[in-house]
Amino acid sequence: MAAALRALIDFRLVIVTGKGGTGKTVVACELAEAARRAGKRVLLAETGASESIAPLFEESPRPLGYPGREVRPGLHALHIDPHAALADYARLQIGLGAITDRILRFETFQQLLEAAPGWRELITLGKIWHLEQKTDAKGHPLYDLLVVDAPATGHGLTFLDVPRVVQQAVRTGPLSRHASWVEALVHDRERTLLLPVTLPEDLPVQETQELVERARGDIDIGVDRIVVNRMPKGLAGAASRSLAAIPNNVELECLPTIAEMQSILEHASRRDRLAFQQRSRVSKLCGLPVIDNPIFAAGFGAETGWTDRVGALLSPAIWPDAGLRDPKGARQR
Amino acid sequence: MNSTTLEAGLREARVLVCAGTGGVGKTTIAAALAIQASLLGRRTLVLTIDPARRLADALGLASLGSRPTSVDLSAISEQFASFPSANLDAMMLDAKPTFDRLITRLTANEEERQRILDNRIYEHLSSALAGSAEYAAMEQVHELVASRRYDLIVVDTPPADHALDFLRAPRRLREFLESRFVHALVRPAVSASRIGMRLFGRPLQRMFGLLERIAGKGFLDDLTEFLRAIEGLSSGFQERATRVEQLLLGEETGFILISSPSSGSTASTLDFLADLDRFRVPLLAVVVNRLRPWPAEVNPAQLRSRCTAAALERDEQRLAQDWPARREDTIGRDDSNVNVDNESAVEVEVTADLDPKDLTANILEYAEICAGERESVEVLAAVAARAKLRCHTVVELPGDIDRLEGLLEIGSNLRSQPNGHTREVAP
Repeated sequence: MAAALRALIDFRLVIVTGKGGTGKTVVACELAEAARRAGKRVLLAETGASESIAPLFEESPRPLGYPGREVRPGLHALHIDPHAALADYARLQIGLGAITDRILRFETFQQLLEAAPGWRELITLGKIWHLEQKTDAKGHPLYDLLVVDAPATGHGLTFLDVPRVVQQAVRTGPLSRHASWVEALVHDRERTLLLPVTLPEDLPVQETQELVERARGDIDIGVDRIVVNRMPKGLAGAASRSLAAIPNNVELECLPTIAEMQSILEHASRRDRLAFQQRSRVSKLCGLPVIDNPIFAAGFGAETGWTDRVGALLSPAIWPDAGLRDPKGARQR
Repeated sequence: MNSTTLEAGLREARVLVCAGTGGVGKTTIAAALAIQASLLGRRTLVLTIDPARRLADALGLASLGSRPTSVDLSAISEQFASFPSANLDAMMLDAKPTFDRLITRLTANEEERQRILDNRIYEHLSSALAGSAEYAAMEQVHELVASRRYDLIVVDTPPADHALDFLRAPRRLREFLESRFVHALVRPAVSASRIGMRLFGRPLQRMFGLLERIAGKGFLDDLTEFLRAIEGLSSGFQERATRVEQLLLGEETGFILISSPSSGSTASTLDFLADLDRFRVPLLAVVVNRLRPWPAEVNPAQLRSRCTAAALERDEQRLAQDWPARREDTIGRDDSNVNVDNESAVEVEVTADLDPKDLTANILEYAEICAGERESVEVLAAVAARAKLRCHTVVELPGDIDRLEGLLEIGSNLRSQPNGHTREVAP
């Protein structure tokens, strides 16, 4: 198969996408944290209707808001609210005065704006483009890597459908020009990568296939691997068979009884098997290698220690049907 | 309904709405509840949206369009032999074209209809007004209820960013259509030319000017044309929206809120619950779906504290005495030569030299996951209790649900918990 893929943190812009419930926000946070630990200056942008990133980093989180803040040294996080971004844009790019701010806040103006196709996506992407362009005093890029947690609606790809927006809605004017810059960034294989997140389950896999097809079709954005989130290690079956050799009456001090452990492992091994099947299925359907992101039992909060295991995302992508059958072996390799 | 319970809903409601955030298994629960209602002798329709492939297979919906199809309950004949009257239809809801159908119903003639459907603002607005597709789905439910073909319709709701978009959509659309600026735009004297906007004075001119700078030239013309086209529909739309709202919030409807036991899902379910409350939605029960099974005699949260490093080591030494020698073991399946659609994969032997430490690590990790899930159930159950509602749990099945038996098991599991979750998570 193909040569080793470029490291995720060596792209400029990684857009993390996936249906609701797949854990794409967590993956975006993990990737940003992994890059920060590797010494990159990282920007993490949340784009959904409501915020959910801050509680992963902060014990008593405040909303990140629009300018955002450093949640860890070298990791700046923000929530791109399209209305705030629009006000910013109107001020900076179109050069309209103070009256603009007041108009933008009109509820009816906002309602009418809702009828304008794609402005929300374009403004959000425009802001990301703007952040990508930012430089420090010496003229170096301000951020090495931008990680975007894409909206969960409509496969999160409507968001990237900039060409349609440009052609249909914004025919002339400064916005049209800016849109073409944004479009170039989306299509740029050197700088930009779409990173789909899925679960090793039937429906998410089906949806991931549709997403990848669209990414390769009209959206035309680079996609070279899939993150399979909450992947089990796959040891329950082997553990269950080893346990079968132990007499049921063996007395243990702290663990559950042999029979109880056996029933736990039996269930877990059957679920493991399904997960491995689905991982292989998604890889085949999409023709892409996968990265396993192991299930994390302690959950995701400021103090759960999730930041210590973010390296999993940076491990090489694998082809699950190419003979990698021993998860324990893979772990030790 | 006489009482707010799942059971009352199954026996008395005319509409059961399965609501919840994405990926929690709404479709599965909807199908399981519909089977239970049909076992009670009620003519039942389950309206599903985008079911997983295997669930669609289970319901015989794989090749089905948006027409009610009879579900073959004889597939589980043993259990159904004593329920000859069981009567279940299933139908797939395609939310996309239904908004078009709504326009078709509301317009007087073909010309008017085409003018609306061809307008590029319509295309965008019908999808951008978050929840309008969901609303269109509820319109369809309303029609099915009115048809009186069924005693009960169980509705699966589409995944939405905001829980009740389908309730909010008609209000938002109505407010939008009634706003002063929209009226200004569609007033015939002004609509055709933007010169007419002078009549509005400077603030409005600025506003329209800004809109065109953001949305592009021609946007206002398109918008005006669209608004004029749908102006006539406004009253018909309002009347229907009111009727749908009355149905959904009325006596004969019950909502079931479904959550997954992951902590992230719990947070959004709590938001959802608050939202339902604001709308005074008739909520019947909370269902936590796919709880990992864990032995009832052991508290998974206590296991970890009980397993000190020293105690664990003694247990591991004890296990090592009887531990099997290194052996050939099966891990997962070899899928390399298997067609994706044919999952009867062959087992292959793979070497794994697990030791007792691997086993205990596995058990403790699983316990931690289960403890987190049970904590989520406690949180949801406490919130539900405050609203005098029961919180039911559904234990994860060992396999995918690809046959009706799985759905039957889930349904009877739900109904066998008359007191809610306590049976499941007692320490």
